[in-house]
Amino acid sequence: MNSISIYRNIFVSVLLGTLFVVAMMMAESQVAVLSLIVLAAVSCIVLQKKGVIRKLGSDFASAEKFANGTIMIGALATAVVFAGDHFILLMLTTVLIYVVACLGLNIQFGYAGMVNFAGAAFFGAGGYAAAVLTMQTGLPHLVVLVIGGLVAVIVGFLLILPVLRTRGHYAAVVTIAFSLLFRTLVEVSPVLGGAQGSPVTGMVIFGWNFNEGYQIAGFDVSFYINYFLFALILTAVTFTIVRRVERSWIGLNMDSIRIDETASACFGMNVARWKVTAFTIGNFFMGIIGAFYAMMLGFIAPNNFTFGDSLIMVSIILLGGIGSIWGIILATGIVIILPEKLQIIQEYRFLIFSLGVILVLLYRPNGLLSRAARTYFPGLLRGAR
Amino acid sequence: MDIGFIGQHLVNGLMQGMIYSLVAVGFTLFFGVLDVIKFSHGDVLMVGVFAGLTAFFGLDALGIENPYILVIAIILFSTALMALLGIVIAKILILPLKGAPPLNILLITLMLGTLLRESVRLFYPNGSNSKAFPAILPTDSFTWGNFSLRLDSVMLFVAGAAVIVGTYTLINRTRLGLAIRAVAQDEETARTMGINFGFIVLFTFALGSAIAAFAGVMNGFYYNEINFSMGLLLGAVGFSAAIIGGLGNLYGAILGGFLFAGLQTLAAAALPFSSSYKDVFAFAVVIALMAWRPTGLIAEKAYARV
Amino acid sequence: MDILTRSQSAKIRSSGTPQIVLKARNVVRRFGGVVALNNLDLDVVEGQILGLIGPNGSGKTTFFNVLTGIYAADEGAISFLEKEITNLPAPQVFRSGIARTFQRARVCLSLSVFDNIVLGDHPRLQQGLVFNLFRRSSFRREYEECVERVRELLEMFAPHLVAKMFEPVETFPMIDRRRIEVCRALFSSPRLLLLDEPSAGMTHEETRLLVDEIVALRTKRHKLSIIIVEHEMDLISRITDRCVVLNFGSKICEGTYDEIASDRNVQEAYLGVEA
Repeated sequence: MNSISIYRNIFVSVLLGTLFVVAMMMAESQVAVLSLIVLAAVSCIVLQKKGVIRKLGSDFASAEKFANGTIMIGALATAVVFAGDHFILLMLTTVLIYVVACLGLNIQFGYAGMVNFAGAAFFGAGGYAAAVLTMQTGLPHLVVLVIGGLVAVIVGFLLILPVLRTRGHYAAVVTIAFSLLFRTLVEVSPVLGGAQGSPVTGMVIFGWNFNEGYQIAGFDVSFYINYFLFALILTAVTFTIVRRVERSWIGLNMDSIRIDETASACFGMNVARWKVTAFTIGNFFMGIIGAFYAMMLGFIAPNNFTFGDSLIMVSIILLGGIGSIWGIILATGIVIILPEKLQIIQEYRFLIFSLGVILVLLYRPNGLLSRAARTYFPGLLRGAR
Repeated sequence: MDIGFIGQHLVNGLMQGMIYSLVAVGFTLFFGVLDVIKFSHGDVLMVGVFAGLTAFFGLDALGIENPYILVIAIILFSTALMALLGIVIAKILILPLKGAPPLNILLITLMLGTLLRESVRLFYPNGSNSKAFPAILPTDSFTWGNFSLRLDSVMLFVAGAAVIVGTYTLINRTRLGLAIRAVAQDEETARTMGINFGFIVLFTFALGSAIAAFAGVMNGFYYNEINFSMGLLLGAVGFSAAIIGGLGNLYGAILGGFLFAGLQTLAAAALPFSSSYKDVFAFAVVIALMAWRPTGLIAEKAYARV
Repeated sequence: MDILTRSQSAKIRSSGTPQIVLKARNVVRRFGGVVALNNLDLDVVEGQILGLIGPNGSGKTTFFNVLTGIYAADEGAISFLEKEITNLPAPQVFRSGIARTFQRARVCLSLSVFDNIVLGDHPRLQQGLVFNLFRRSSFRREYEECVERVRELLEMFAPHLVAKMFEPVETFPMIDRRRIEVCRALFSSPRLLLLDEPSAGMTHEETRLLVDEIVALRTKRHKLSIIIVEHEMDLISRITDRCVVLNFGSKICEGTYDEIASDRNVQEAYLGVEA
């Protein structure tokens, strides 16, 4: 009986959320977009005040599989609604791409506490790997994706020594310097296409050509639906792995290192091993999704991987709430979609964005959805008590 | 390689080094008194240059043509305004965040930098394009063979050196400097000795920001071109310079600044690849230096407190 | 100097020779020009509680840090259970059987009681990526074992925390954080426990409770030896078998609490009287 009300609550809130996203995507006029934003903001504040959000949070936590499945269906339904619309599908896929990249960064920054201001560089390393491999070799594209991830990992290994040896501000300078270095390097390197960038082949997996649209019952389906679906799969896989990292001894080790390195070492922990692990897993995800991004755009240029993009990735994590997976997903949605829809702020997006991050850091340092305490096996907790 | 070629690179490297050192000095001052990294420093510099440019337009409109008055007015206006901006930033953002995680402060100031950059791009007339900075300093040059040294370069270099010596004297030879050093050593003790902590912090931020504005104007006079994004790279280089020197250390900042410029010059002049790789080379060396000396060349004397 | 208390000597006479578990010889540590530890010799006997006392800055915590591998010793040798452990890295010192607490209760505040305690036996947990990420049912078995072990430990030392095992530590008062920290240090069943100012930040009443618990600890873990750094002389007098007094990094006195309390050197060190 109680559990039925939990399922109902989850279903209703995911339904409302999906409807909101659909409405947001459909809204054309600035007035409509603005009203939707105000509506969302006001209802969030009201629900928060009434304690509904907290109740929903515990409902989602107690029926996690059902909740995740429902959200997945919601995402698919959204894609079906906009199956004919290039622009909207591209935007939604971009959100998913940033989610994967930020989840990777989250392992480094949110769990192990390693600052990485070169996220876009690792993302770009994967992208350039895809450019070279798809243009010059006939490797299957799934392999290209994996190599993209590996290239990011290898590039990361170049930094591993300074990253392990430095802390705090000094660690920040290593990654900031690398971010600027990478951008300049690809810009001046003739092999990688210089400032003009390089073309990338669209994705083909087992004969499934991502760059071809469909006609279903006389209805044109955008080819971006392929990319969206594949990105959704990648997101689900990344989500699962990051969750499992969090809910294992590995996540515990990383938390412990973030909070107190010295104490961790005093309890037998090999601090360097877990830092390397976090750095490697994170870069791998960023590289894979960078390769995917490049194949989707069909083109990459140094301007896609600036220091500013790295900053956006770090900010998404802070906005969402450090270490909070759903927080990151929410924050990515806001950061990517809002400026696209709100044309009046398009020009001012970076300005508003930086102002927003400053305000959140000042007044809500835990982000939008702060990370919940670790449960290794949700649902089991009650039994364990 | 002839003497003119070497000389040209040498002059260029020294000018760059002076500019970087001035920026790095700011980072080191802020870190000294408050243990924070203010990453918006480079963008304060950029705002300072645009303020200087505005002052020039204003005076130009008033019909003032004497180059010395113009130069002095530009420098005074720019440094004074940035000192003010430094105080405002310290008051609104930095002081209230005292005790927050260092990373949050780093991010807030990174975002503040973006805010300043975007504000200039969007709101300064035609701000998204590069602008010519007035070339009003005398350009007479001394010539030895095929090497020529321009008078304006010498004047800028001497002025920069004077600012560094002045700052050094202020920190090490005056009562105010003593108070700054006391705060840097131990805030609590400094407070109990009757030092006005808030005032010292604000003063340091004003000083550092004014020095940044000076470095910016110097940069403007030397290259005669400015743009809204110049602060990002200068900030990152200044930060790197302060860090490789060792944070909180005036000598370290100066050493780091000239070292970075030296690396760039070396890459541009003597290494077998195209000079466009000079930043790549310099940053790569910075990263390698960090791996070798994780707390800078002049290491912080700190032991993990347990 | 007789390093055994009377009751201990009696016990040992009946059960064999006393075993010295920790032996430190001529340990020197300098910070720049300051000599923080000066030729320190120190022995810990199995099952004993050794009080390490001295004025602020006399080198007590430095000794812990050198012993546990946070700082390197400049000279000297330390052996534990007949094994050389001088200047081993911190994780290896821990693996040899030495666990510690910290001056400011360095527990992970945002993590749960369970998480904190389970970290105390990190080397025994399976750390493989595949095991943790993909063999979830095996991981679950190990996890459930750990929950059981943590529960047992808490029932023994802090029963009221059992029901709150999955709540973040930041919600508890100082004394509970100390208890959690001690439980974390005990979770690996170490042979030597280092307690660094366990009374810091606690009220008088809380300190008294904690002392009772430490005394009770001895009856539950016979082979456990403890070194305790403390300023509360009350606490030292009630629980230690033997005390070592440090001043400016040198050992100035050693003996039972009563012996050191009546020693002139010790009084001078504390009161600052000229010799």
